This record gives sequence, C-alpha cells and structure tokens, in this order.
Amino acid sequence: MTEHSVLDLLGEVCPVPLLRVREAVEHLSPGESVVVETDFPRAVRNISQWCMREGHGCQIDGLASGTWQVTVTRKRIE
Amino acid sequence: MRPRVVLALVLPSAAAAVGWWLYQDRPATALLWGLGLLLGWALSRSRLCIVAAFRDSILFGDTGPAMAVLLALALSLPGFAFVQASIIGQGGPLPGSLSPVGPLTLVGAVLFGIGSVPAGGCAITTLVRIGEGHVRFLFTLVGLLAGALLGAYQYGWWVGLTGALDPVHLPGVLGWPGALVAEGLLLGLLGLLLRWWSRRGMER
Repeated sequence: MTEHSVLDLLGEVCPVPLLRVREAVEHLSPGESVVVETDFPRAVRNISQWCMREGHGCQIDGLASGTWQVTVTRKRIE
Repeated sequence: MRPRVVLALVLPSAAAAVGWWLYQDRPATALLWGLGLLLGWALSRSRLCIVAAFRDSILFGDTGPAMAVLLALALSLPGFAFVQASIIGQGGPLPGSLSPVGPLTLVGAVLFGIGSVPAGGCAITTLVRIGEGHVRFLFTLVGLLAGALLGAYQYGWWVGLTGALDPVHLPGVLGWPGALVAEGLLLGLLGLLLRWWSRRGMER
C-alpha cells in the first residue's frame, strides 16, 4: 500500500485549504499523492477544480457528515 | 438507527409541524416560514457566497461563485421592480433601503473584507455553517451581530463625519424600463468581464 502524507485541514476555512494544498503538491514528485482532510465544503470544490485545471489527479471521499478526504495526486507529465 | 437518519426524519417533520401550527392563525407567517426554509436549503446546496465571488475570482481564477451572484442579482431585478412599482403605484412608500454612498462605503467594505478572512465567508456562509452544525461559527455570528448593531447605532454620526452623496433610485431618474435595461446591461458587462478573467486564468 502506498504511503501518503496527510494534510489535516479540519477547521480551516477558505482560502487556506487550497493555498496549503498547492504548497504541498509543489513538494511532491510526479505520481505522489497527498491526502487532505477538510470540513469546509467550498474547499472541496476549490481543490477539485484546481486539480482539474492543473491536470492533477483528485479523488473525493466523504468521511462523515460534513467531512471529506481529498486525495490529490501530482500529474506525471510536467 | 443512525443519528443522521433520525435527524433527517425528525427535523423536516418538526419544521412541517411548526408550519401547520402557524398556518392555523397566521397563514402569511406560515408562508414566510416555508419560504425561509426553502431559501436556507437553496443557500446550503448552492454554496452561494459573496466573499467567495470576489476571493475565488481574484485568488484562484474561479469565477463560478461570482457568476452565481451576478445571476442572482439579474433574477432579482424584475422581482424587485415589480414589488417596488406595485407599492409605489398604490401610493405607498418606496420599499427597500436606499443608503447614501461615500467614503463610509469604502471603509465598510474594507472592514467587511478583513472580517471575512477569519470568518471564511459572508453572512450567508456563517448562517449556513451554523445550520450544518458547526458550533464555532456561532462566534462569527456574535461578531457579525455586534458589528451590525454598532454600525446601525453609529451610522448617522459616521455619515455626518465623512459626508456622503444622496442616494439615487435609478427608476426615479431613468424610468422603470430605462433602469431595468441599464442595470441589465451593467450586469451583462460584468458577466463578460468575468468570462474574460476566467479565460485569462485558464491560459496562464
């Protein structure tokens, strides 16, 4: 099983989550992932849209009511 | 049964019961209760946020929230015009709040912008988050109410201190069709500007 770094952003409000994710992804090698935990719905949308725009992989899983886990995988071809 | 399922059954039933109880004596209040619930649901599902409209456009090039706000304004234009024109036509006073514009507006906007950063959104977001069960947003609500009360209490003093232009009611100047066309054109121009900004962000 691949080990991912986890970014605990529970309690953080926009725009902090996306700014922190962008910073974390910059330090990843292509193909590596970071797992983000957030309870701010707007952040889930911002992160997924940013991933789509930049070409990074993004998987969203609902953890519990109002909490999401977003796995961002850095794109392989720069 | 899971707590979420229990809440999903109990809360709508309780809301319907309150609505029925209001309907017995005050049908108009029951209607407002229903509209309020619908509005809350729509705001929660749409994530409409005035702060996100500016923040996400400028910081992330995501103009979706700003477009949503423009659309809401465009849809409300004919509604407001109908209500205002109907009441004025019956000899009533102009409904709604017309406030003077001046340096005070700028100061208020900057203060609102500063406050919205730790709050993570506008008043709508704060209310929606409380409704979703985020207790810490109650602190934001307390700040919001305290600021609004203080602002309302000192409003006249601030206007006197900084000076302001008299409020302008566009239909009074341009007539109803002229005002609707002018406001529609302005919103359309802002929409085009946002579209350009979004494309510029995609190309970068």
